Amino acid sequence: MKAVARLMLAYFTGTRLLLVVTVLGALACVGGTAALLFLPPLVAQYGLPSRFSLAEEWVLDMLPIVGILCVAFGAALLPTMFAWLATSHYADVLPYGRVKLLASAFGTVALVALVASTIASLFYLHTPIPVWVVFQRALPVCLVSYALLYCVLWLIGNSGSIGKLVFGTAGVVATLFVPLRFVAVPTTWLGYLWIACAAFWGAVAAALLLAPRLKVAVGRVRHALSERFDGTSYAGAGREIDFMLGVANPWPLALGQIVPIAIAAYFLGDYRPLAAEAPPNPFLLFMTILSVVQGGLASVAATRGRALWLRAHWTRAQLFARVERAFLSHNAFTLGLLLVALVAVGTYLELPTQTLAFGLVLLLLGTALSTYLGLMVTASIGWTEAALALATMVALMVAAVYTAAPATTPATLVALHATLAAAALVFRAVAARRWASLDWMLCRSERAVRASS
Amino acid sequence: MSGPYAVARGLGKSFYGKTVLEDVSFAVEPGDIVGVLGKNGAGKTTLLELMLGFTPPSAGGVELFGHASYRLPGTAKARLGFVPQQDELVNALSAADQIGVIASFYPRWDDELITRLAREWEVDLGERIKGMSVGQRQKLSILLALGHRPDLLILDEPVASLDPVARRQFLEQIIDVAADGARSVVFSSHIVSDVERLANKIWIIKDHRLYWQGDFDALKDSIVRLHIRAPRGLPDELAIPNALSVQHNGSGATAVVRDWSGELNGDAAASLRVDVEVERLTLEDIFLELHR
Repeated sequence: MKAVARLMLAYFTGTRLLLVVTVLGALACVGGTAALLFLPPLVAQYGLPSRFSLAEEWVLDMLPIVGILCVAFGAALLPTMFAWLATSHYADVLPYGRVKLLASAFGTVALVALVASTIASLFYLHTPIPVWVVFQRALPVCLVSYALLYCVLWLIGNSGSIGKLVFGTAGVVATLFVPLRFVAVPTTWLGYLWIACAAFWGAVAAALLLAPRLKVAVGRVRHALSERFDGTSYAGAGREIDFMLGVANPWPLALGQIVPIAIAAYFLGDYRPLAAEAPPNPFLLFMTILSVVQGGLASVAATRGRALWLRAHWTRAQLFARVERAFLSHNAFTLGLLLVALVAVGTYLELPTQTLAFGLVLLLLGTALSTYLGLMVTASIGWTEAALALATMVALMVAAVYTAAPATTPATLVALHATLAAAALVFRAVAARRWASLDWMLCRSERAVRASS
Repeated sequence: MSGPYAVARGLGKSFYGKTVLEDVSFAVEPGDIVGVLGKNGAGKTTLLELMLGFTPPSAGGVELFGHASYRLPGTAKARLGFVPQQDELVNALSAADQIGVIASFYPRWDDELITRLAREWEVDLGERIKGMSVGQRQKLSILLALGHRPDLLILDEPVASLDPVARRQFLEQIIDVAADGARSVVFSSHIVSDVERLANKIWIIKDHRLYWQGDFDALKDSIVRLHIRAPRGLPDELAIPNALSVQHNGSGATAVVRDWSGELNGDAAASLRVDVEVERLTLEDIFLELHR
C-alpha cells in the first residue's frame, strides 16, 4: 500500500511543474464543484433569464473542466514511470513490483476518473436527468478513456517522431471528447460500458503481470518463424542511401494502411447525413490523418544522415537534397496507395466529385507538410516543433472538414489548399536552412529516443 | 536462515539452440563475496539473470533463499538487491524522489545509510536525474540497491562507469555490507584488480561452464607458473601434468599448470634432476593464462 501511494504521489508531484498543475487542478475542481453545487442554475444558454452575465457563466462552466484537465495532466508522469518500471529489471526485483505498479496505475486513473465523473455528473444537477444515472455511465467510460489518454501521452513523450506526435495529439483530443458521446447516448446498455472497462483493464493487467512469460513465448515464436523462413523473408530493395535512411522498403507502411482504410470504409459505408447541416462524411478526415503518418519517418533523417555525410563527402546542403529526394520517393508509394484508396472508397461512399478532387490535393499536401515538418527536426523536439505539429494537424483537419462539406465553394478550397501549400514551402525552406547548419551533437540518437522517459 | 542464500544445480541456459551456460552448480553462503569473471559474451550476465529469475533456465535450476528464482515471492525479493549493468532511472525525477519510490517497496529502509553514502559519494539528492553524469547515475543505482540492507546483493558490472576514487569507495562499502558475515555479494567485473581486492570466492566462466569456483587463495595455490630448469636439458617427452601452457627456452621451460600438487611427478623428472621454481600468479595473470 505504501508503494502504491508513493508511486501515485510521484505521478502527480514528480516535477515542480506537475505539482503546480495538480494543485491548480485540485483548486479548480473544488471551486468548480462548489459553483455547480451552490450557485443557482446557469440558464442563459437555454434562453432563460440569467443571474450572471454570459462571460461569468462561461468562466463558471469552464472552471471545473479546466480542473479536470489539470488533474488529468498533473499525473503526466504516470505513463513515463509505468513504462520505466514495467520494462526495467526493477519490475522483477522489487517485492510485488508488477502488482503494486498495476495498482498504482489503476488507482491514479480511477482517481482522475472519479473526479471527472463526479464533476461531469454535477453538470446535470439542475436537469431532469438524475445525477446518479450520469455518474454510473461516466465512470466506466472515464476509466478507459483516461487510461488511453495516458497511453497517448506516453506515445508523445517517448517519441522523437513528428508523425507520432501529430497522431498522439489527435489521440489526446479524441480520448477527451469521445467519452462524452458515450455518456450522452442513453441507449447504450450500462453493462456494456462496465464489460468494456473490465476487458480493457483485464488486458492491461494480463500484459503487465504475464510480461516475462509472454516475452519468452514471443521470442520462441519469432525464432521459429525466422528459422522457417531461413532469414530470407526480407526482400526489400533499394539503394544504399535508402537503406541507411531506413526508407528502402516502403511497402510495409503502404500496405499496412490497407487494413484501417478497409475498416473505415466498412463502418462509414452506411453513413448518410440525416440533415443538410449534418457533418459531412468523415472518411476524408480519416485519410488525411493517415497521410501525415509517413512524414513521421522523416524526423529521424537528421540523425541517420550523419553516417551518410561521413561516407559521401557531400556538403550539408547536398545531403539535404539527397535525403529529401529519398523520403519523397519513399512516401510516394504510400501516398499513391492513399490516392487510389480515396478514389476507390470515395466512389463507393458516393462522395461528391469536388470532395474527391480537392481531397486528392489535400492528401498530397498532408504528406508534404508532415515530411518537411519531420525534416525540420534537427535537434530535440521542442515547443516550436510541438506547436507547429499541433497547428498543422488542426489546419489539415479543418481543411479536410471544409473539403468534405458539399457547401464549400471551390474558391474557398483553393484558398485553403494554397495556404497549406505555402506552409509546406515555408517548412521546406526552414528545413533546408536547418540542415545547412546541422549539428549532429544536438541530434537525439535513436537509441536515446527509445530509451528516454 | 543458516543455509546457503543461493544454490544452483545443473543450471543451463540456451537461446534458440545456442548454448550459453551448461551444467553450472554453485552455492552462495552467507558472508561470501563472489567475483564472477569471464570474457565478453562468456555468460556472466546470463548467469546473474538466471540467479535473479529474470529468465527461466533451460536445464536445472537456481534457488534463492529456498525458493525457485524464477518464481521468487515478494518476501524473498525484499532480501535481494540488484544493480544492473546500465542504470534504469527515471530522468524526470530527482534523486531523492527516485530513492523515495524505490524505498516504498521495502518493509525496511536505512535512510541513515543512504544519506551518509550519498554525502560520501557526493551524490546530490536534490538534483534531477536528467542532469546527472553517467558516474553519478551509477552511484545512485548502487544506493538504491543498498538501502534495504539486502542479504544477497547481485551486481552486474557495477563499477564500469565509476572513476577510481568512487570505485574504491564503492568497494569499501561492499566490504562493509558483507562484514557482518550474514550478507553475501555476487558481482561481475572486467576489472580483475577489483575482484582480486574484494572477492573471497572466484567464479570463472569459460566454455559455457563454471571453469573454476572456489576460494581465491585456493585458486592462487592451484594455478601456478613453473620455471623448470634441467642441467642436461629437457627431453621433449617430459610430460607436465595439467599444463595449460608450456614454453621451452633452452635447457628449461616455463609452464602454467592447474591443480598444482607441489611437485613435478614422473621418473623422467627425477632422473633428470629437474629444478622447479613455483611462481604465484596474480588473478589477472591467471585469467589471461586460462584464456590463451
